[in-house]
Amino acid sequence: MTKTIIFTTLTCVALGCATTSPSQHLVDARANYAKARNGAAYEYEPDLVHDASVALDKADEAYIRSPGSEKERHLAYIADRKALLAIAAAEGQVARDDLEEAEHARTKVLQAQRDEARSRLANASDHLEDTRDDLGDTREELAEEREARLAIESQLQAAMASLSEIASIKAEQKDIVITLSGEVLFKTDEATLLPLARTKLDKVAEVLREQQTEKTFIVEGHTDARGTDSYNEDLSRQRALAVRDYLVGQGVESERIRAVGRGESEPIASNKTPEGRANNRRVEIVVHDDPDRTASRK
Amino acid sequence: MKLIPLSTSLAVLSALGLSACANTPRDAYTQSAATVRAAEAVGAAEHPRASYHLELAKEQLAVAEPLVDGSNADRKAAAKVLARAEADAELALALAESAELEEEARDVWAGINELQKDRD
Repeated sequence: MTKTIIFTTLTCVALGCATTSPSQHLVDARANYAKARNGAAYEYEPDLVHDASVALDKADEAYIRSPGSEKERHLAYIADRKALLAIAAAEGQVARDDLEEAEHARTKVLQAQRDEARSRLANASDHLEDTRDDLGDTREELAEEREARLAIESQLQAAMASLSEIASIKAEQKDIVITLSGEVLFKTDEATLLPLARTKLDKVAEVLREQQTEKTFIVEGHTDARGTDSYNEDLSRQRALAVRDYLVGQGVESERIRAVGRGESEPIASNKTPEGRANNRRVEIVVHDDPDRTASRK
Repeated sequence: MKLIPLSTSLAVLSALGLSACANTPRDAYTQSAATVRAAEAVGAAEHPRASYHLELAKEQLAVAEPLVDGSNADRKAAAKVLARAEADAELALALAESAELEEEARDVWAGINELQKDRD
């Protein structure tokens, strides 16, 4: 009899539950607890999820015992907030992890930037050092070059000095002109070198051979004003060629030396006196610095 | 703002004698008021979800205040209201901390993107 009464009571309670809907707070609490139980909160905030579970049990119990009661609504409210608290706290932990990861990444990026900057600085320093070395080398090379040039100039001056005994030497801008008297080199009206001339030209050849490779030479033949222009021009060219050929025979490179006949066109003294005419009969050897100017020189 | 974990915040409040299981409605009121202040301190009013629960907590505190020192029935009613106030205040605190952390993380990632753009 007693069991039947208890069963009937329980059934009525059960039926009451079935007929009275849970409060909105309880519906929310169940849904939010499920979210907490199945989401990140269960991993990050298990204690808070447990608190929510206990609170929800109390609310469910109140619903079973007195559905729709103020107690049910109150306990469901608390359970709902505790479930939401577990979820929010877990979101906070996820955000904290994200923040830590971001700070770690930022540290790495900043470190990489510092490393790159250091590397660029080191490269710039190396480059600067190399440039300084190069500059030092260039200065040394320039000094060596200057010394070599001075030595050559000194050698040239010495050579020219030895020539001054047999020829007149003068500097014209960048050129040096070696003038040999025609009387010493050739018989009158002839283009064959005298034996004495060969001795003198040997010295000239020696000097020309020692000149730097960028120098070139023009052998210019000149006559006095006696005779026709064409005769004088032809004679002067024949004499210039004779001198050129002899110098080539003595080792002066043929591509660096050429012969030109000027005839009587460029006198250096009066043709009215024997002395002046003697001076005009001459052979000049012009030493050029710039090969390109050779053709244009007058 | 450097945030401390929620569990630490709640532990500190508890250590100050402001336990969630306060003995009297007055204690519960003091506890909930402290949690509300903690939530405000981390900027709960600046974040919509946190602000909503902060306001609920404050409203419930206002309801409970005249009851905490009243009759037994009043104090019993106050205890229930304060339990809800405490639940909302704790939730507001957690939501505010979470939102602050998310914002901070977003700022750091944005800063990293800027740094990487500069490198490119």
